Amino acid sequence: MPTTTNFGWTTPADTDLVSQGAAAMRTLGNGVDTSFVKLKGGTTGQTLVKNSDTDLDFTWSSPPGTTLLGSASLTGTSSVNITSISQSYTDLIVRVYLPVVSGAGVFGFRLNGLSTSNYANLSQQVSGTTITQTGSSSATSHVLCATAPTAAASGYAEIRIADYTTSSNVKLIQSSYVNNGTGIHTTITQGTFRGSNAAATSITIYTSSIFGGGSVSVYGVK
Amino acid sequence: MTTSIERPEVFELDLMTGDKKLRPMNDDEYEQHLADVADYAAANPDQVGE
Repeated sequence: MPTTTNFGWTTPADTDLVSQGAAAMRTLGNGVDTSFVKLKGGTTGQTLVKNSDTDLDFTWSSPPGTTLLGSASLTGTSSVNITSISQSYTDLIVRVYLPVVSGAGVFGFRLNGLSTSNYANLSQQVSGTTITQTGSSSATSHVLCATAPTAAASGYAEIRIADYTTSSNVKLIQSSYVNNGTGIHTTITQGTFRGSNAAATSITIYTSSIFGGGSVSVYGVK
Repeated sequence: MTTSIERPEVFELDLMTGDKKLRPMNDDEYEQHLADVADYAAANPDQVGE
């Protein structure tokens, strides 16, 4: 039986009987059907990628990117506790928009509700032209800003927790905070979370005072 | 110094169920909050009483 050049699908020979035409077409169709079976499936937004070096070996895959997992308002609380964080991502990004603290207080977060010396961090804070550096290897939280904003001033904080699902190692945390109002300042903190090396499943954004405004959004990153 | 601090509220968001609720701090959370207040006051004595 002759076959096609590229995929080797069986085709009828010139000398085959016309009465065998239906079977020959069925054989050819089934060959094509089998070859392209991996194009079936997938969901909206997924892309087709090669699964191996083998011809026609494809798989449907969600493209890398950032997915919003949930958002909450900070207003009127001293802490926002976000639980049941999906473990389907590699990194976690938490963004806090326009945080305002009524009265004076610290502004930071904790993972898995743990506070006892589970954090190590090194912070550099710039206020005007003054640079302050602080650090601790046994802190009780990851501080985003040692003196939290007391008025809406285009403040913004971003936290990135790398490899947050691992249960075999500490988690690397990077955060930055900027307040574009009175007493312009920026705080950049590098830190780690030990917490018995457990995967991070919850995050608590807190202040030692009361939040007068702001919101928090949690994103998963693949 | 900490005896007059009103027990604040916590906003809970469960990402699995989507449930949201506002509730008073429980005893452990309140104890931690008081510790945070005390730590802040110790680090910023000029702002105590504001």
